[in-house]
Amino acid sequence: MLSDLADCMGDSVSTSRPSTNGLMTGGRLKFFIGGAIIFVVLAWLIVTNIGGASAQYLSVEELLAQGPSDQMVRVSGLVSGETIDWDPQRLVLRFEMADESGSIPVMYEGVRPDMFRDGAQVVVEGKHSSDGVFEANNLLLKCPSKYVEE
Amino acid sequence: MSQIGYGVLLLCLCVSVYGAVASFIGARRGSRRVLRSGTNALRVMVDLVSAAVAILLYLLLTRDFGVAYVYQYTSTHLPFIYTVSAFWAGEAGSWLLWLWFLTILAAIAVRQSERLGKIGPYILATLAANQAFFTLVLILIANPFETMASTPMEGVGMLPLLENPGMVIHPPILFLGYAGYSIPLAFALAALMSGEVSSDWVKAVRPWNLLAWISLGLGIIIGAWWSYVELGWGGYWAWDPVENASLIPWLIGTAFVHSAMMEERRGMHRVWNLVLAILAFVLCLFATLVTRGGIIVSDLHGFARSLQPIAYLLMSFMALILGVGSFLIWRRRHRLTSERQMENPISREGSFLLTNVLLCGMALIVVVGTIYPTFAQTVRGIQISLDASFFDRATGPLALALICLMGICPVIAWRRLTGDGLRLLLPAALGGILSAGLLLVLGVREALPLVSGAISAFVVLSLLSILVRDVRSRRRSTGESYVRATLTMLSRARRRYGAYVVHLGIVFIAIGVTGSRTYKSEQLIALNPDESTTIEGYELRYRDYSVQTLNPEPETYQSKVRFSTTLDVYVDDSRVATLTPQKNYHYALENPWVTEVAIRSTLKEDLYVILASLEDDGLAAFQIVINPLITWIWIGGGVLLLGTAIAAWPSGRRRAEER
Repeated sequence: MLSDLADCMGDSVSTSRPSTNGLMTGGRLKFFIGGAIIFVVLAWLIVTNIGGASAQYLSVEELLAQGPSDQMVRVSGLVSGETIDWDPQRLVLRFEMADESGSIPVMYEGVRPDMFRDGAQVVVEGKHSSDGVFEANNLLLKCPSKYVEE
Repeated sequence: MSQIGYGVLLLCLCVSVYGAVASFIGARRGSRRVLRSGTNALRVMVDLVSAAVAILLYLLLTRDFGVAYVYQYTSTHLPFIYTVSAFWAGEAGSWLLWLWFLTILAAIAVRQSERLGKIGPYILATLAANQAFFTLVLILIANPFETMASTPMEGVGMLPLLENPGMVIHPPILFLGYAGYSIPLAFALAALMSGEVSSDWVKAVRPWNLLAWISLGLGIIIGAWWSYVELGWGGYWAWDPVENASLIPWLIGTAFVHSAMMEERRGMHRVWNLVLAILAFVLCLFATLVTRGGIIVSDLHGFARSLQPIAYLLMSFMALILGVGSFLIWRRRHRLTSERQMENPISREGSFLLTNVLLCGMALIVVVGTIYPTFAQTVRGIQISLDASFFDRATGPLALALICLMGICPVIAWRRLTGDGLRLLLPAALGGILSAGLLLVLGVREALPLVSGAISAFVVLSLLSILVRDVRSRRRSTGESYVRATLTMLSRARRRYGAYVVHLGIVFIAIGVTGSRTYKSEQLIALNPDESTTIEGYELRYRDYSVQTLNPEPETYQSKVRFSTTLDVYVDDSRVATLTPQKNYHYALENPWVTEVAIRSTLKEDLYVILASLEDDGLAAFQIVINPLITWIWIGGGVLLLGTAIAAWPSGRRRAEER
């Protein structure tokens, strides 16, 4: 898109004064360099930031196979209802998260989300600690559309 | 009644298709008679669509639950104002509202197009064709007049999250913006079709451009405000695909406002203006595709999970516009040469160009971030999520550079930087650096507030010094008093000063964003009644709680159990506010819990209290958030509106000059 911008602006500028040939190439070159710099800056902004901000989802099976680690990961799964243990005084939420392949205990310190209940689909972000518990820093619920009730 | 409504829609389709064909033929043949007929078709469209709107409104207000749309979005408990806003609570009503705005704006543009010579008829043709597409969508996919097999006794009701003043005004203003961009599109395509690609179309489209820009901008800000007061997560902008979708056309529209000025004043950027006008509208369609088409994979909002029929229609329409636009630009490329070329990059031309590039660059980043997870899933087959920090980091530097340009651009002259400009620029720059120093002395250590503070101060000082210079020179030549000179200046050069006021509004928003992003602090605490907690100089005493059932019969979305708590807020041992954060359990809803936050706003900061949970014995968990300077975002929105109104206000003298 931006190279297009540089192109079409370069075009329109350069064709405006066909008589001044030297200026034309000079102007074109300037725009080409300017456009290239801007393009590089944009690409740099995107590439350097996209890696750190994106996280790949693991299934519970993949997480268990990987074993405990210090790496931050995202796991999605379903809440098993009978395992929900909510301590309203200390604000600690414990539950088992499961998918087709297995389940893992999760501990989360924070607010129990409103829509958190048996069978809710959740995404947890955190670390698989050495005692086998997944320590979540973030607990998100997948909810149906904001606007349309399904 | 609903059959009549549907019949009206069918009639709309015939009339709009006829209007498009007649205007086009009239334009090709230069036949006034055919053309008048096309014009009349567009006028009739206003009446027809208004009739459809009136019918749907009537069905909603009489709560005719036999109509699926009325059944889905209203109930007997729903207050009057939300029964009206139920009009745009769903997809079908939103499309109808959008079409209604299109017809009204088109009817006004028709009067203007009569003065535009050869371009005029093509404008009519494009507008009518656009209306035909929207009518087609209403008929094929989103018919608001669809009836149920039998008439239920009670409606489902509105989603409680939509029961908020923000949701009464946010969608119409946003749709006014989306509809508004159909006019620049029509002008651009008409200029290309007629071959009259001089800068006239850009001049003529300016008020429309500003209308669309401010509507979209305010729509976005009101949407952010709604998210802040209603969704109860303590923030206002999450870089969610829905939010991004409306931001992208706004960024492109902002670029267009600026590059249009370059064409008006200097005859430059002519191809680029055509591209931006077309792109702004296509991106409005893209926004709809994102929210309604099921095309974007989103973490939190499982929109429609598969590609919807509407997606195919929208994509075809977008492809059609882009195809026709590109072809026409290619065909007219020889006539689209600039009158001037840039002599010096450090000139007003140069800073306008940079503004343009930065805005488009930001739009590109937002597009990339929005479609990246979808792209990764379809192409690489992996599920990836992208969090908000990507957008913050990638667009932040560009946004700061843009704000900086707002201080530089008005000072430097066309063609090159003059000594006069430098005399204004240097003190302002010095002031900016001094402000950063002051912040440093006051204990600010983070990079963002220092940079942002310096830039904001620089822009404000630069704008002020321009005002002082202008007033002084006027006083010298006319001998008026300072006040009088200021007022005459403001009313004479509305365009210029309106733009400065808009820029001031952007600075306010930047201050609000910087403050709330950098210094947001949070506390999560469980309290028993009569216990208290302190945060950032506030003492919050949890006084009482209550549970009450509202609207129990008949059971609708508006039936709820309200869990309410009362907290007294003390500053220096004197009570400054009583907050009542609540939670409502809407038992008819699949996701029954809706949080109602309590906020105490001051210009300095917001105290924002969320009731996270409430046990039977009154033990409550509160999430307490301090959002510094956040009010300045909403104030900035008001200033944007004021500035745009000043800039767009028609003045008799200026009009005469333009002719």
